[in-house]
Amino acid sequence: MSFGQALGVLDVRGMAALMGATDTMLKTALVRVCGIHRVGSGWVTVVINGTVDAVEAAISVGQMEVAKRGALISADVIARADGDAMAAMPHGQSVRDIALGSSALGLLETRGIVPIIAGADAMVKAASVSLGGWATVGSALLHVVVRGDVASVQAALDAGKMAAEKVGQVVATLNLPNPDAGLASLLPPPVKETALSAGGLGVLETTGYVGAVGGFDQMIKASHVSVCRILSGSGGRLGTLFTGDLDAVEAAAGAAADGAKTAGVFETCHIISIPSVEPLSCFVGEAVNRSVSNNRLAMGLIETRSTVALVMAMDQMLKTANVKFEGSYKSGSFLTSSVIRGDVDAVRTALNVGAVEAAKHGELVSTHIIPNPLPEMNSQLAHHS
Amino acid sequence: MAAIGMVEVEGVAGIILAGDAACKTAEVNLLGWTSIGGFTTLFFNGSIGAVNNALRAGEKAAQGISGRVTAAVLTQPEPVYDTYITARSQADMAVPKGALGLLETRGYGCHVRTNDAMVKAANVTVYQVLTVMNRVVCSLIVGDVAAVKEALAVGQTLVSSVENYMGSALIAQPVPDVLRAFGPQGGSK
Repeated sequence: MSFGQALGVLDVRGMAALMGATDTMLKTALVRVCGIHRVGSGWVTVVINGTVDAVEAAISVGQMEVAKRGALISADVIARADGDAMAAMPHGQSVRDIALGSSALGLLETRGIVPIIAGADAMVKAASVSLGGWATVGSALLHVVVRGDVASVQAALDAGKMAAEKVGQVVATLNLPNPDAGLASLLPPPVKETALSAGGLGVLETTGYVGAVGGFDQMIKASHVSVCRILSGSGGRLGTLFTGDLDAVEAAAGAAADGAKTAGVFETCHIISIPSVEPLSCFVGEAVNRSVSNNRLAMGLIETRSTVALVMAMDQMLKTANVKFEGSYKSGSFLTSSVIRGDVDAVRTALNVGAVEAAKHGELVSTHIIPNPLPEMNSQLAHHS
Repeated sequence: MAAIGMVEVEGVAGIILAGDAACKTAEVNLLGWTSIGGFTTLFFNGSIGAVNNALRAGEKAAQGISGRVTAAVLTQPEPVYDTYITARSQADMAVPKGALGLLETRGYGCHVRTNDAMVKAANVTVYQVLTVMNRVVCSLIVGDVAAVKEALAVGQTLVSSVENYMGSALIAQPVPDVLRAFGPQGGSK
């Protein structure tokens, strides 16, 4: 309490802008981070506290810095905030007090999954830096953090930006030579080291789950690759990450794109040859192996932009044909999907009925049938609850 | 139960109003709700007649604050509907007495100021702040009717000029199940 009851609030678009401004605020005046909150679509709020003078000084410089990036939504100072009211709000819940280390901190922010992974790989290949994890703030805005000495971080950021721009959109970069310890709450979860290695890493990016599964199905039928993870990039974007020998990954990529286009909404597909172990640990992580039955029945998928439409469609599907509900998945950006199983004719009948029913109530995005799904898909799919 | 009623809106204030109106209009049980990134859906059940009546009332109440409202009745439902409900009404949860005030905006920052100003303006407490993504944030305050009314007036003055203001509403006597479904233990999404 003695630290000061004044609060400063900064609403910002994007994590690079927020982290840069927060670092400046913490260095300008005696304030600390007492809250952070993400509300999607790229909007993030940081809350600081201190004495009125300190908070005013900090917010004034922070606001200016964010405005320079064109990322300011609003800024505010509250002289004496009510403690009980603030305790009932969610922003204080994710404040962490962990050691930050003294090395420089670099951040690359992109729109899309392919550019962030391509950028991360280029960064660790270009300079002696380590990856400090990734996160998203919504609207397919993703960021990855690197640590190292100042010169290495800058070299990494230059290389990462160039690599990411080749395959997508870079939103911002940030280099903090001497990051303030108070930034800990803003950092993504740390990376767990793995011993993963592969000749190639493929990233299939889709909008929605149906396209991701359609691409998954086709790539493993076309080539000897293993799908390691379906990663949610927010804003409806999903990244299906697959690895194998470089030749196999290259052969799988074309099939993945075709499969995704047929099933749903394809965005892009990109191959990284001989990926470093760090981006593999960071984005692929430990293998997920859900224990599910070795189901070889036909698979049906339906995706909508309305829960009401999906629930009504699923109810009709189960009433009309001999199919079983298997699970659901939300991709963000209002996309919601469900999966059924049954024999091919039953699944086809169910999807036709479901499509008609869904369209009566809301936006139907896609339906797709996989007549003969390979059993190795089962343990990696994200809709199993 | 013979039927399920569903109401879907942008934001979350609309389904809070819908849930309250539905339960006051007919014999229906509030089951819970879910969010798909800014759009939320309310679920309740009852006899077909009750669900139909409740749905009309709920739809109308939601239209008071939300633009487009999607509503549907599912008769003789397959049990699968239940898997879509991610935040449930907690049966034995104690709820505060009095009125409920809602203030919904895009963006979180302004809620720090408005909640602070509202608890200072009148004898109300912040019950819950719901974040349903796509930037939508809704603050729920509780207190006696006059206090909530006064607090909301202050909150509105602070945010109604903001382009991100979505709406506010007062429920004088909220149904306890509404407070349970959208309360601190009711779940975030």
